Amino acid sequence: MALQYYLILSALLFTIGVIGVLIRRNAIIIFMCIELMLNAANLAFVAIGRELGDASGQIFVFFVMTVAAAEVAIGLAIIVSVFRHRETINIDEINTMKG
Amino acid sequence: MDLPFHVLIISSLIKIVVVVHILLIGVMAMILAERKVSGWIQDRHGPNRVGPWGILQPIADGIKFLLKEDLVPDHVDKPIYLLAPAIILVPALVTCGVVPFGSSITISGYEIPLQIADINIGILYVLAITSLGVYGVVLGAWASNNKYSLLGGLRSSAQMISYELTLGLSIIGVLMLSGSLSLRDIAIQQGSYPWTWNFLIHFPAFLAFTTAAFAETNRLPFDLAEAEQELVGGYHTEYSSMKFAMYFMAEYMHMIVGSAVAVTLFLGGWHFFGLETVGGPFWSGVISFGIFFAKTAFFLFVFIWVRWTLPRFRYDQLMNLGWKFLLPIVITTIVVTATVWAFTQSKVWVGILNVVAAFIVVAIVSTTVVMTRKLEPVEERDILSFTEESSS
Amino acid sequence: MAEQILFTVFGILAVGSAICVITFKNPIHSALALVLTFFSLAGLFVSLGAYFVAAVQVIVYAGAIMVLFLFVIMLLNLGRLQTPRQISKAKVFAVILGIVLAAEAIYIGLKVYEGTAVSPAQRGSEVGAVITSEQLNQIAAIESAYRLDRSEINSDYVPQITSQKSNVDTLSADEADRLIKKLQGEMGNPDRIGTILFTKFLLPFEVTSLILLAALIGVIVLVKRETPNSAA
Repeated sequence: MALQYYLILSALLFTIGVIGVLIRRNAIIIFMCIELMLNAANLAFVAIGRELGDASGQIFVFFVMTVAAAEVAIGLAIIVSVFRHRETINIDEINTMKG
Repeated sequence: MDLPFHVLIISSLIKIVVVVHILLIGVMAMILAERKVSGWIQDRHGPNRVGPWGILQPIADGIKFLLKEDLVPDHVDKPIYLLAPAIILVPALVTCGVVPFGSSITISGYEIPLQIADINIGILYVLAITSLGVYGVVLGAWASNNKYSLLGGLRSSAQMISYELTLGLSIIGVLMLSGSLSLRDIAIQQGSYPWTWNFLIHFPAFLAFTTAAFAETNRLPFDLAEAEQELVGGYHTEYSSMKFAMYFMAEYMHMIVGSAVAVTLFLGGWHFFGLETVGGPFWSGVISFGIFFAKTAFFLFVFIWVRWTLPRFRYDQLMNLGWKFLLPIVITTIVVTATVWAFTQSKVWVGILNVVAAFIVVAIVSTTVVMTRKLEPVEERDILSFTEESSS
Repeated sequence: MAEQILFTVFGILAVGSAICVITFKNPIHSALALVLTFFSLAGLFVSLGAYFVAAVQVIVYAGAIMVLFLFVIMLLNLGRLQTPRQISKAKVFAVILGIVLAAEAIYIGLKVYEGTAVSPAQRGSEVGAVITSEQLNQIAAIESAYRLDRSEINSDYVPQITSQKSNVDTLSADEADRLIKKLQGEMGNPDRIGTILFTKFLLPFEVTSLILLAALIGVIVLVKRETPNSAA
């Protein structure tokens, strides 16, 4: 299985994530789409790592996962506290900081 | 070890069929055993009407489940409601694919290991699959669209995430000393005699693992997710007939698989005083399987014993136990095991100092907890109530 | 062959469930579709020989992160916040933009691939022929990465490549291909990953632990409720 198929798949998943961030208004779904984009990058890492015969690609995936886990914890905490104050997580309504 | 392709396929298929059937029959046996043992503990007879000594009771139960009306309430989220019972059964079934349930059997010159697949990330696979068990509960709870179910699901997800950490970390000491992730290697390197098995070397970790396994199976004393007296039936309140039976079976299957994994990791697998080498290349395999079976059965008895002995924990007690006692203990165990092993290379010292360290941790934590205790216990309502509070 | 099947099945599953994530109205359904996506990605990692990463993917993403998502969605009861679906101009524009982005990414990916790597056709074409220097380097790099054990931790890759050239020279293309396959299969083993993680990447590893600690503290500060007697 050649590298380019994995790269195409990775690009597709990444794009789906981007479209999700653009068209959805629910903060949690947007957050999930960001996870999807990170995972698409992970796939590219592992595929290229195998092509180059270097396990560093897989190590990078670990670091991405760690950072993603930290990010999810913080992000969900923010969403929870926003919801406590505003009773909504629709990002169109959470615009108090808009000038 | 390298079998020809057709032998591999045929032997694997036979093993899969046998293991799945053992699991299903084991579930029936467990249902009977649970009722018999509870009767024994409570000084009464238990089921004794269906068949001799009531041994056909599980079949009667099964028929009853099948014949009951299969209700799907109007207010449920249908696809997930129907999917959830299946989702909870699957992890229990696929976990046993990597558990070695015996040494190996030699049939017409082919040495067939008594294990469906010996993969080099065995224990990680087990952890990965166990971590999916929570979905069945949470999804069933949410899809039921019922307050009690939802509360059960929330409790269960919080509980399982908390205890999964303990479950995963308690294994690390074992992995460090055995130097392999393959369950077969771990079982083999423990040797034949009880004093070389891992449960003595990693005694605190073994206790933590067992406790976490109880919590992961949602059994009493950790059955807050279904707590009949508080939540009607928790996450399976809205389930009836065979769908309820699937939840019921899944609980027992998780117990059986959890016991098998615990036996492999801590109780020496299929080893017992060299008995597993008695007999020829065929019979030794059968005997080793018998030993493994007996050990698992003993562990399952402990499961039932505990259930009918201990009362249910309160929610804050559950969280305190998980986060303030078990987690520090297993983390200390990891540090102590690594340090002692690096300096002495002696399993005896690892075993002794692990227990000492665990005692010290428990002493420190209990003193701290007592000294900083709030006058009122934290109640579940405090944890779950902020949505109402924010609206007021 | 097995890899093709795995790739096709899990690839289609991944893309399909990813589309479900962004189209389902109910956040719980979206979260479930995302779990499926992560599963298929784990399957793809298996097809790439990265077994360890696949297991960690399931443990971390499916087992922990998504349960957290579900927990929050259920806790805040977000299922009732379904907004009616409307197709606005902005959404159409976003989708078009996304398609353009995808086309661009795929094009660049293919271009880069053509420019640098050795194509499989080239690698396996002439049986018995002398392998190219690029392939040689590749094999040597895999070899040296594979043999990275305690004694060779601090040495660089380059000297090993030159030292091993002599015995790799005699390999036929077929043998070389087999060797690559074998080494690639062993690349995902936990012991190899661990060796590299705790030697070459020790500092980043320690830094990630700091990140986790920071996240831990951050979360506690964010969601801690101000109780009347702790305010003082």
